[in-house]
Amino acid sequence: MKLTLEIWRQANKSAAGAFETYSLEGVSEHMSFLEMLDVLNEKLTSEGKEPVAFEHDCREGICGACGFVINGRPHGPQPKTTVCQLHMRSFKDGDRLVLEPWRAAAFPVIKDLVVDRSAFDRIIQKGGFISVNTGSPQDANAILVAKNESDKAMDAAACIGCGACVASCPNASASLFTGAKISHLALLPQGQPERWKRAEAMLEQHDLEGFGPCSQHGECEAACPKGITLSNIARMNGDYLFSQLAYSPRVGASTEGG
Amino acid sequence: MDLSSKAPQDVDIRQAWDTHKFRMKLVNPANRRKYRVIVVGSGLAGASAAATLGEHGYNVACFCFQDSPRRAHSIAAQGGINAAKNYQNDGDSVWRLFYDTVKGGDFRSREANVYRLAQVSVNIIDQATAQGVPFAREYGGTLANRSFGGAQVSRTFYARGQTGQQLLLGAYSALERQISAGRVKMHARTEMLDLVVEDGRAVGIVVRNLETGAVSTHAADAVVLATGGYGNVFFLSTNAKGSNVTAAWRAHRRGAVFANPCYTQIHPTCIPVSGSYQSKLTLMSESLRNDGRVWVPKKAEDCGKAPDQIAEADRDYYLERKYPSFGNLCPRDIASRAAKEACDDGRGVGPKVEGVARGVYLDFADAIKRLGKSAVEERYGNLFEMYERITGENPYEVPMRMYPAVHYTMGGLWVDYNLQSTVPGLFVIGEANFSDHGANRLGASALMQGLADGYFVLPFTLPNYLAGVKPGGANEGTAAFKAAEADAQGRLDKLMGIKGKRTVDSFHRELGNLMWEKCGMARTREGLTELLGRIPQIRQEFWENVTVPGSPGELNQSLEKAGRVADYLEFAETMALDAREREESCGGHFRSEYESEGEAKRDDANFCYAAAWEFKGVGQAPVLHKEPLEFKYVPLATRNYK
Amino acid sequence: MIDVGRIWRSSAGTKAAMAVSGMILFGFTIVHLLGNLNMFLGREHMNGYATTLHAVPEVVYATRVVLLGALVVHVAAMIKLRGASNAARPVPYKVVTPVASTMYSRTMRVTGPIVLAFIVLHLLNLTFHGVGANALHPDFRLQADGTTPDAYHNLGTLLRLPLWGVFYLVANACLGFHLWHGAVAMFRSLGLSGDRQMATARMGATALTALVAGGNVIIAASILSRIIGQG
Repeated sequence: MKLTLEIWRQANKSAAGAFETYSLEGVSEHMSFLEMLDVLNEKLTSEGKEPVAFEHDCREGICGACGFVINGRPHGPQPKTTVCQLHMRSFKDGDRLVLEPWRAAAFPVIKDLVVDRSAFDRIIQKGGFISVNTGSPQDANAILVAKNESDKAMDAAACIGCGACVASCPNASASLFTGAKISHLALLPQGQPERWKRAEAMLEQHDLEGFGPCSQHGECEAACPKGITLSNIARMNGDYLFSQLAYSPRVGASTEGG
Repeated sequence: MDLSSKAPQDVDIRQAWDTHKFRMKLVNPANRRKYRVIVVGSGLAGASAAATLGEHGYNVACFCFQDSPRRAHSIAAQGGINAAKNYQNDGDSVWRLFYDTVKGGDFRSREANVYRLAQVSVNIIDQATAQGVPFAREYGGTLANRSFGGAQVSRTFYARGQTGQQLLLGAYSALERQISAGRVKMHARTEMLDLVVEDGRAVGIVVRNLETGAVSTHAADAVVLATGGYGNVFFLSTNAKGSNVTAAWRAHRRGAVFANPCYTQIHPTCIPVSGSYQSKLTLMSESLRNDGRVWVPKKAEDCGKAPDQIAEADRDYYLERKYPSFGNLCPRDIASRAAKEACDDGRGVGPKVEGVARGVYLDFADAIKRLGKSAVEERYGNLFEMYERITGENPYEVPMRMYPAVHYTMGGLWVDYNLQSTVPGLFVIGEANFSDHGANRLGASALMQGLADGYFVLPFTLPNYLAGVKPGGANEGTAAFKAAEADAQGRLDKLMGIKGKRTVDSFHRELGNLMWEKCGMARTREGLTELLGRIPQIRQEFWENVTVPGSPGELNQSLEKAGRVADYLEFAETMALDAREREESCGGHFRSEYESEGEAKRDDANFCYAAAWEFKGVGQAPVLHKEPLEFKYVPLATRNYK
Repeated sequence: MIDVGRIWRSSAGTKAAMAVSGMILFGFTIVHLLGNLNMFLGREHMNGYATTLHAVPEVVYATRVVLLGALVVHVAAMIKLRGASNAARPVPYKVVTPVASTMYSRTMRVTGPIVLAFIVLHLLNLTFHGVGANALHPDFRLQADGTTPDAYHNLGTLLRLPLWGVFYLVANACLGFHLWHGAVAMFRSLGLSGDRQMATARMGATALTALVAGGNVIIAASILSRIIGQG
């Protein structure tokens, strides 16, 4: 099939970007979307032009590296599918596709379709962990977890940190990402001791990074390749409010993490 | 070359690790922060090591080429992690896991290391659970297990089909906690280009910031490589696109010997190549073989027909025919080779790529008839969905098509019992080292080894080395650092300056196809000799005719790939040489000359050793050193799956 | 001590403030509707209801203070959140393809200001008599006691005018849209995460929204079409 691609090109963080149009012929429906871009890049390189920079690694939908917006939809039109697993049979001959990077103040564009998502790591640094040193735990089966709760924790833990939630959100909020990690740990007994401090610190870091507020449009849930649900945002909100209204830290207690 | 393992020989293997731990030197807690440790790689091994060393108080710097440590390729492991917990009370024990791993590795691993791996496996599960890894559970709240990869006991812990992801996120969270506490400094989007060796010791690394292109050096008291395997030498593999041999190869060039590079594992159930544009291969869980039946048409002329047009009598269920007792569940290497034979015979199915159809059917029609569609959906629903997403075919109606693909590499930098390479101060952990899996890795053991090394072995053995070193001895201003940096910069400039006609990928594909053809599932002396003639030619053309667009002072993915492919073009030669030198078949290394009735035929009299290659220069033959392998506890035996 | 400033500064805290203030305002709209249904029972009932309301001025003023406070918080939260939202995406997409968001959620930014304008005009129309605002009513009257408005007449005559009648219809449709999303969202903003509880909350919110918006629209439409509010 033949495609027209309108791709955002930007040399670096401080450069101004613009759309460039490319036409590509001979695209097979069996190609993955990224393989189609590989073909374009091989062509551009052979012509002495710079290939389009895009992020990718595992190409099997789990590392979370890939992702850009195709015709207004993060990871493209197929639900619960990262762009590396999206195949060209989702499109038809003659389609015009507009490829844009994730757009958010907290995700500055590094080059073309590559953005800087280090804000996610900094949110995790504020409490997306259980403070247990290597070697200290008890036997694993000494902690019983109801299957139902464990399954819900796993649903939340399935987040791959790709950033599609931010990209799809009309407010560029990272509430789904943050809520998923808070929920994953809040649903497990191991996560209880630090539950309230975690919600407080992670949510406040989320705001500091410049992500927007959640208006519960639900776009993030629809864009999430792993099916993380809005209920995780609700749990985060509840935990945050509890941390502020009901939880009492000892006066003068150290607030240092780690 | 001293290739002694340094494992305690004076005590029984059951006491070896405890004895060794006690004998090793410690570093005073007050002095730890003075020691700088570099960890390269942030997968299971790297992240767990960096986090644990940070907890101990060392001054750690961790590097990864991805944009975040959470993206390391450990994340893609699906099936599970083995541990000798014996929670199912089905006869498992540390000894049995040790025994199975040595036997599964076809007697080409080091017994002491394997025993230790089995021993600490139980701690991994405790650690991961405490971190909040949501392993599958029973209704009573205890952890669930499954049997995996033909094991007789249920010792595999899992988190849906995303065990690697969950374990990595656990290690990543521990790492982020140490970053937050200021004990680990993380350098993401930073690729190691070289190792700095001074006075015979590893003292630092040269890196390139992938965002700005800046090349810089980092000094340390010890360097830990946790940089994964080299499966991408085949271009197509189940590895992530970024997985590369550069760090290990550069360390090898600086003196670390490389062991058993020819040991590669081929996974039998991957989605076949669909066209010449194919960029990677996707693994489908081995569990599919529990209920799927593997077949190809008996007659080559039937291959073009739709599968439901081929009569039962015209189908060849070749695994059931050749291995009546194990049938479709025979080990990975056997299933893989049988698929290749069927396709070489012209009986492969699916689209032809470059003239040959490479695929076999994995058919669930019988299972659906026997168990009902809903039962099959319950067991394999998510895998079927994934298959349909990629191929556009519905496996409930049309048989799946499968073909083997490179999956894991057992070879790696040689390390002793302390996980130290032949360069003092250079430690190698996880898939990047060679030690634990011998010639074949058992399912659900890769995650186990990565975490064992990072959480429970290196944090004991590294201090033993540091205790003998004056902290802060190395600094970036010395000649060794300047020379290594200039070297790396020179290589980048050279790559940018060639301005030839061919793309980096075209070279990588050419090398990969050739390696797969001649050094893949079945190897021959003749083919390997031919390969050894071809690799230097490709390498030469690469350095004369590659084109790298853009500039070096920015994010330049072509330049990143070029550096990696350049190293693969050197590494491949050593790999092929190792494969030719090993005149036997064992585990994942199958030499067509050495077989009996289609089975791998080991030669314990002549090849019961780890082959450790010493670098002598590009285009010059490396020197082979041998570490003899002794099997005192698990007697040498031949595998039989008929 | 509870650090109100800290809560307000956080996005979740602001959303909670929006939810609580919204809940108060929503509650008022329900009571307001129930009172106005008196229009269907005739002048005596409607004006009797107005007289009863005004019997205890303390309650009237206390309610007004609470409602005004809720409105101020609601609007202030909106201003803060909208600022944060705009700042979070400085470069817009070329193509936007909404998938899951509803017409109701996407139009909050429009329906909110319309409802606010409606509230102001509505107060000027019918509540703030004697403060020079009667200009916004063609024929504002008081009951015989000289203090309580003649609610039946005032509402009836106002909404019979096509311009006002149609405006009230449109504004109440906007109110319905606004409540539809807001009433569901406020539960999640306050931390209700259970799927079953959420389903119940959604059902309840939908029913109350339909009641308030539907009731208001029916009253306005009935007056506009001269079914009630005559004479």
